[in-house]
Amino acid sequence: MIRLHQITRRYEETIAVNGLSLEIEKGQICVLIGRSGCGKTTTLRMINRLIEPTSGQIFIDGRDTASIDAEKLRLSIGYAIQSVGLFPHMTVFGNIAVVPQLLQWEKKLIARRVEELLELVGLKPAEYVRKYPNQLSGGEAQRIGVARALAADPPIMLMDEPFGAVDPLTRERLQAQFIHIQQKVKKTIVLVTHDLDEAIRLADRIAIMESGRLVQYDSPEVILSRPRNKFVRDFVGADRALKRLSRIGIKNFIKPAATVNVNRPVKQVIASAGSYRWLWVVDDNQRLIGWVDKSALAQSASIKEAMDEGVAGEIALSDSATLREALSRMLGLGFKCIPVIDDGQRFVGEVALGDIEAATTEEEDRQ
Amino acid sequence: MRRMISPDRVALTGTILGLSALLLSWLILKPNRLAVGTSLNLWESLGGGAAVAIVVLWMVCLVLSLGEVKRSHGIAVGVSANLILILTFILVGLASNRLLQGEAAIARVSLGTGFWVTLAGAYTVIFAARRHLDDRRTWRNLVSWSGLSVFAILLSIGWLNKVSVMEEFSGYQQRFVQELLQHIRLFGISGAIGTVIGIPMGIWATRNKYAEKPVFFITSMVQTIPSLALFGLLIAPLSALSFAFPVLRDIGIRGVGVAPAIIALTIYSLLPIVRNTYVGIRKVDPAAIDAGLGMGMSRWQVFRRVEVPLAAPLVLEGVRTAFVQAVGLTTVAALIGAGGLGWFVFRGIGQAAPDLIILGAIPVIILAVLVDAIMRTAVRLGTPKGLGVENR
Amino acid sequence: MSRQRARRWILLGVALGAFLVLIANTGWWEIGLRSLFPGETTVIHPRASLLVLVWEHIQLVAISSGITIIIGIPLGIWVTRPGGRDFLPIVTDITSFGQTFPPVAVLALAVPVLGFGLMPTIVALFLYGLLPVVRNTIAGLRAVPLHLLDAAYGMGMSRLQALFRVELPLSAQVILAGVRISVIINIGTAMIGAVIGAGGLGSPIIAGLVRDNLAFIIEGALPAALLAILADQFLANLESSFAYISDKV
Repeated sequence: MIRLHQITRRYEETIAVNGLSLEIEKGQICVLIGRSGCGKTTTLRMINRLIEPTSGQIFIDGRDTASIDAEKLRLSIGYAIQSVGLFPHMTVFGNIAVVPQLLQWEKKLIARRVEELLELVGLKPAEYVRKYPNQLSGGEAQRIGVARALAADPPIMLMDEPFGAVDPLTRERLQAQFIHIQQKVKKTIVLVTHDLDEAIRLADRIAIMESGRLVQYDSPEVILSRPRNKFVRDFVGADRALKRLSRIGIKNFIKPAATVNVNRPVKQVIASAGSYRWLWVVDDNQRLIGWVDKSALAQSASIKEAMDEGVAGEIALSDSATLREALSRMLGLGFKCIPVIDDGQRFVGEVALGDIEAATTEEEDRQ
Repeated sequence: MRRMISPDRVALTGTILGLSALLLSWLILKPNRLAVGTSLNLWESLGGGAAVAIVVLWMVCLVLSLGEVKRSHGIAVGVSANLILILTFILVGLASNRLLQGEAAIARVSLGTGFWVTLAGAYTVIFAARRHLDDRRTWRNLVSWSGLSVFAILLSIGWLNKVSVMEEFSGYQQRFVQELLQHIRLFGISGAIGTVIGIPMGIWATRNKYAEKPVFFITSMVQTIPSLALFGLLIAPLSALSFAFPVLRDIGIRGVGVAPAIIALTIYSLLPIVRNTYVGIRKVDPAAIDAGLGMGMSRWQVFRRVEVPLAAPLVLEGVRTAFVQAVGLTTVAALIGAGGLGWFVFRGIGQAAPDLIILGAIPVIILAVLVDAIMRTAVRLGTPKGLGVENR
Repeated sequence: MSRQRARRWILLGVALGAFLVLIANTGWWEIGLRSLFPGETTVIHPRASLLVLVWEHIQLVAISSGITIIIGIPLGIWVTRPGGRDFLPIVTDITSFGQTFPPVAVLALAVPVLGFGLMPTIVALFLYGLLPVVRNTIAGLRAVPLHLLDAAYGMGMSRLQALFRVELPLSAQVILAGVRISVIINIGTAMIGAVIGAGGLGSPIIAGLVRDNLAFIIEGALPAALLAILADQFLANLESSFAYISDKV
């Protein structure tokens, strides 16, 4: 859908981008990554002609972008930058509504769209429409930046370090939300980042750039398992194997596990516990609320007394987590198995260290 | 496509101004100082040779400003513009002498629009030329100041004495010096008192939360009052006071005159000084103060060795603003009998004698610019080494 | 509008009303001034009523400030655009250098060129008033964070759209501050315009100085001071309604 053909950008003495050719399919996320000064941001900004290529062409859906009026082009492409750039003199509503207003949408349509978008990025419309940017936290502002870029429902989005300006915790949450949103809207996205983990997590294909040239353009799995040259190998880093684990979700590794309802009488539990040394405790709605050691049960009157709480928050994994997160948690807590919960905190199963080991060996065998 | 020759538009504007001046009147010959007089253009006033020379020099500027911008062009253009100025000054002096030969003693030659427009055009060109000479300081200074220096020299040797303004001056020489000194006295004293009162007030406003609001409220409110109105409002009470206490009248404090002028001028200098002192002290990094106290300095020592040097640049800027402002306001004081260069301005207005007005107004402008330049140096000297000069 | 701001507007409205009532009732002035200056035969300047004088003064300032805004703001905009950037240094220098000139001098120099009366006064007021307006327009526009402009252009705004939807709203406060400075200076300089025959609140003061009549002086000085203070407060309030706390993202 987007095709870059021999794109070059020359400044007085330097060549920022050198003969880059790239093709991005519809609905894919292409991440441009590389060191500072490698030309990734320049390339991004050439797609919407904020910078004009010195030579080469860019085709969007077969049309040469040079033949389209620059402003019209940009109105049809979503643009989100690192500093977000929310206009301080406009409310959240005003900010998101900018492009639809420039396109002269009907007022009612704009209002509906703003509400839609706020919900999409996980912010309550009633609460946020009237706020001003200076009243927002970093994470909120970044989400509204994304909403603003999506406002006119452009088929293509350009994003320059969109999650760069927030703390790692918020960034992680934003990334998860981003993946979630992309599953719904299926935009063609070109994203620039310097964070390899982010690239691996989000990209369908990664384009590694250095000194203005394209070094490797493949899916994250391929880049991690078959780096083309020393540069890519060094760039990806020595812990390729671990990084690969962040591409695999735990869904296929969840095994059923024994649970017990918190309200069941202790004696009954001890009787039917069998060989289990400990059990996961759930409530009437199957929500995970703690775990209990069988030996502790013997000395207590109720499960509630004997159990260990705080599991859901600290220990349990969401069912959309990756193998890498599972491994990391296991190592951090010293557990060999981790409970998994869904969106509603309901117990789904558990993931065991042994299964992850098996999975990695399998992967290596396959290479 | 890249190598399109772009003309220096500023220099071009100056050149066009200069060329248009050729069509305007340069000198005006009047039978007496109040009559309208006949306008003479370049040919008639300065002679054919001069006219050709000046036209040629403007053509040089035109060609150079249309072409590609090169460093040597900057020098050439700047030199041409200055030559135009120098020629003009010299020839104006000569011409005024020549034109007045055979005329009555009360006849006058004054400067026409063409002269002023030429000045404006030449200085625009000089300004444009300066920008290309950033790395060549000697040429830059030469281009900026030679015209003015020649003018000053010619002025002092009496070359331009037959120009109408100078004729007026010769008639009022003693008075001029007297009023000039009075002007300096007026703004100097009020500026000084304003500084002495204003800085402590500013410091007080930073230390005392209850003082801050009223201090700023009053000083900014007074600042908006028109000078003539403030003078007026002070005249009545001062007048009453001087009637009630004749001893005041003996020492020169009356309703009109110097007393209300200095009081009003001092009040006007307060706001810039108080405000800048306040901001200057507020802006001192609290970490620096904390470090000083932590090191064992007393509050007074911290004030003297940390706050004062760090706040000094801003405070001095405030003093500069106050003084420059005072130079202008003092001009109005002449209306209430305080003297100063305004005397010439208003007398000129009253007599409909434009040369008198110029005799008063131009020195005031020059004074203001001089005071500004002197104070800027003071600011620079008062800024401690290591402190970046804040870009204004 | 915040309650605090609404309260200020109401206060201003009341003050304005009081001011108008005050200057409309020449009789009060008559009584007041006579009690202060029992020795004077006439206490009210005969040329025109106070209301007329104030109106003349306001007209002088309004017309010149109006022209200043119409020419000054576009000029400031132009020199910050690629088309006029060549002229930015010289305009910046002239506007800051020009502010060292006393406004009186500019007014006085207008006389040899334009004669007496309204014309030179308005021209001088307009010229001198240009300086703060142009300077603040330039400063305000240049202070707009570049990344906001990048976002604006990236979204698809044309240069003109970005100017009107982003740059000008964000510079509005600074530009208005320049207008305020210009207006206040003009109110002061217009007083001196009375000397060259432009009318306004300066005329009773001049008359008073000439005839040694203190009552006349107060008749001019007091309303002028009140007018200036009112105008300043009004414009300051208008200015603060454009305060957008700049974004932290």
